[in-house]
Amino acid sequence: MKQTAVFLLLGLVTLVAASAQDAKSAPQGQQLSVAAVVDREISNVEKQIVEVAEAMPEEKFNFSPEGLNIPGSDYKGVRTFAGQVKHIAASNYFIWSPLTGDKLPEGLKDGNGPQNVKAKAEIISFLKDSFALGHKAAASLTAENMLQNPGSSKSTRLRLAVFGVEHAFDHYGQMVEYLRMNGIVPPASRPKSD
Amino acid sequence: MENLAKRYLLALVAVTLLAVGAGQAQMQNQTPQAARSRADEMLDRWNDIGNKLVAMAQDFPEDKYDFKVQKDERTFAQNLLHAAALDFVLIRRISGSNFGPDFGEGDNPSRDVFKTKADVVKFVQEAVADGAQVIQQQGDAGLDNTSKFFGNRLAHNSSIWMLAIEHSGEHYGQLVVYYRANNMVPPDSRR
Repeated sequence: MKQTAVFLLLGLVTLVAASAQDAKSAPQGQQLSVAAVVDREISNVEKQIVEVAEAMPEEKFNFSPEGLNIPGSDYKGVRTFAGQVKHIAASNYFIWSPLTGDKLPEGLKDGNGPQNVKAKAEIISFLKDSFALGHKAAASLTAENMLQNPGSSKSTRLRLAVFGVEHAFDHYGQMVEYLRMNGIVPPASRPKSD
Repeated sequence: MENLAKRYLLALVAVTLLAVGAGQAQMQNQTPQAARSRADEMLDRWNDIGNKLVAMAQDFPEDKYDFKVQKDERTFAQNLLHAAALDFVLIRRISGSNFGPDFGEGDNPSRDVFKTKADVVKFVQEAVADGAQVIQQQGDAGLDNTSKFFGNRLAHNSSIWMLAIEHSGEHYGQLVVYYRANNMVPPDSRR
């Protein structure tokens, strides 16, 4: 009886350790869980968006192409750079919180983010926190639940988890243009030093 | 007694038939909830961003196809060609088949090969359609297979498909800015 219990305990420990390995650093070519794949994509977009946000100087954080008055253009009412970052973060919360069951942060009422989050450091902190929720959402995906709809959502858990990444990339593309309009080469497009 | 048994049996059959009929009618009235698969989800995401790019390619005026916002970046047409070309590169790796036309090495096809708006539109449409075909054909099992990725390392197909979708999304975002620079609203924002 004791031997069986020890055997079961060892088996459980091995299983937990294997799951942790799978989620964090499974070598290429080995079977990865869906949660691990989605988590990696979230890390990827998080890195790129945080880098782009950090690359924009604080004094230009409220830049909008509208202010350039480019002849023949119509940027009236489009989001500022800061607005883009806050929108990504706010959307992350709205998209991923149904998967985790977390409450929305104080002051978050719509896709524009809380009004009192204004400084560059505050906005980037808000952004990073939203991606932390994304990692939590990815970790919640299992083979059993990923094709189920959480709560009253019309989308599956898998779709919501992935949509957060896609949505962020759409705005990443716009932020890249905003950087270039200010003479700044986006970090991902800079020559890599050896 | 025998008549009573017969009547009872007939009544039972009638009730059973009614119940079965009612059940079938109820099932017909309800919209059947088709079971979703991971491949279904991937296909939806693939088609969603792919069709957004196709809509832009079809909508943007041909005389502005070589427009760009800043000097050190791709033109409108080059963005589309690049996004579709990377799709083809990845589709070929995942499928092991030579999908799409010959556009040379790399993932930045020359405008000399795709000279007209019609050429570019067709190229983007084919990339979206071919990718959709492979996702459908391979199903969930295909998502768990591995394919040679950049640097010949192996990667899971689900990761590769997601990379292609995200990459298209990034270029879509850039083209949104190109649209507004030309006093135009992107097709997806008109709804």
